[in-house]
Amino acid sequence: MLRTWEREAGRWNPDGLALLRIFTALFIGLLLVPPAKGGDPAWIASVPPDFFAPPPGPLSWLAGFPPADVVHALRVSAMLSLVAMGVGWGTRSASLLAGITLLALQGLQYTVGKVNHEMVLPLVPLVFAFSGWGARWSVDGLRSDRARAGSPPSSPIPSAVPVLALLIGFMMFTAAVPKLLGGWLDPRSQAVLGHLLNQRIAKGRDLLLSGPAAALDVPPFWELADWATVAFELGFLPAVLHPKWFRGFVAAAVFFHLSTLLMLNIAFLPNFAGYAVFLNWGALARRVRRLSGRVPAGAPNALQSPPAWFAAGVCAFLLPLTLPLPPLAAGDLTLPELAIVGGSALWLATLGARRLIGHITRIKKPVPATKTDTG
Amino acid sequence: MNRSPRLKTGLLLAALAAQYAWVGVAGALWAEPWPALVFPGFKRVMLTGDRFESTVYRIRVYRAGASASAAPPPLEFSPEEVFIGVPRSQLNGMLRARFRNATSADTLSEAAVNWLAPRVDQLAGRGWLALEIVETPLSLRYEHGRLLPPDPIPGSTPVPTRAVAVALHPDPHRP
Repeated sequence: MLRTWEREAGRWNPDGLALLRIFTALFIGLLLVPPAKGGDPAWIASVPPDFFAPPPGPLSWLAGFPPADVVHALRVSAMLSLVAMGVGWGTRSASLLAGITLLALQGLQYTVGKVNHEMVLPLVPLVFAFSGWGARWSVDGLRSDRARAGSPPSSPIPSAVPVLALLIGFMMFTAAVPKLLGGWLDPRSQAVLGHLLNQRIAKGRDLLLSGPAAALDVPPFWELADWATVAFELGFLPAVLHPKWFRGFVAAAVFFHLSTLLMLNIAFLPNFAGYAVFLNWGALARRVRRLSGRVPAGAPNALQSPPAWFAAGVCAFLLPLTLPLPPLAAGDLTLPELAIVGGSALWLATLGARRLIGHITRIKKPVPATKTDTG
Repeated sequence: MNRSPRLKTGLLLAALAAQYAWVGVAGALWAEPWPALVFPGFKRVMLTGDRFESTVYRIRVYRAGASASAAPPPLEFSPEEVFIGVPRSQLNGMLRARFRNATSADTLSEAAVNWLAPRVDQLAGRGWLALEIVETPLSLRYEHGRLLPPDPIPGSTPVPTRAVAVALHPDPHRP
């Protein structure tokens, strides 16, 4: 399995890994530090003890809901460690601390007895802590030899990449198994439509295409949706064997999340921090280098720095999404969710269309005659 | 691939399988554990044929009348209206977890009543006497793209709702 991933090592070269580190720090820090949907960050501290129902595991060792100061302290720690991770200062420790504090913040929200499945978010910094993503364009890199710091990857591809792929693939598999056992493939039942109706009735999630979809009384369509969901979630695990297949499933996941956002008003934005890992970061790094190379030599250093250009670009897109906007209408869907999920799907669709057009153009082009052809 | 990465991959897969087994056991005995490397299963199938089944939570608020026989009908509110500040993604799960083994004799603590009272005051006025959190099984008919009440079965009784937690107003006569 690792060999097939090694063939694509260029996607995660040291420069690419550095951009991935910066992107992850900004994406999580600006939009996803729990609780990520606005409101009082320490809401859990105000809930009376009647509702304390921690899930089995370390949270059950708690005696009650945490004080607000604990939540605020964890949030500050998470933000500071993400900043350190982003600039590559003590990158390994900062990545580990970021992952642990994000995990703790998530866990505290679940002490009311409802576990959300957002584990991908802390997994990214935790898994990449040992990838060497702090080797370039970082304080660590500048400190020790100006090139060899932060434990550069010893193999052509950091094992963090296939490991994260395997973890995501496995988690998708765990989503499919209960569906198989629960009767999703039974032609007499329409599970997706049932959950859509339930989100509308029990949770008031009735925005965007929820209404028109609920009115779509076409059982074959919904049965197909049930089967497609199970097939998609099952297929993720074997797709780990080849990076191309896995990228295909990640792309499909973006459209899957778009459909759940439009119909069920659920976004699963934390997953996107994991999906972003599988972009072509090496190619992006080359582009950013070219862009920053156009700056005249006399310009300030910051303007000639590729990571500064990259960070500015990411901030230009993400910062407007951090404005304190209320959730859309009566639901709990937020503008960042809509922008990231919708934007990712639009970008992928454009990319796919361009490739398709390129492919068709190549097929139509006459093959030039060669000496062999002409004899 | 040399032996070491293969071994590591095997160990990782074994660990993932073991933790998934733990999720299954804990889920069957108590509740879904955390942390665990799993995604949501959405196991329950709620629409079979034309029958849609679910469970909803409502907050029922009783008010005083001129006499016991003239008491106005209770007001009903959704959890989102009453539990302000609790993220919607947690709310139904929170009520489900709190009342998993509850009986109708359960009452909310004074702290909980004081937490809920200001919001219920806003919704129902200060003259309310008691509130209960009600778990209602829903059984509806899905037909032509719409949810309709089920056809009544002769001789059947209505689906009972379960008042899972009752709370008295801390002081209905306060200014």
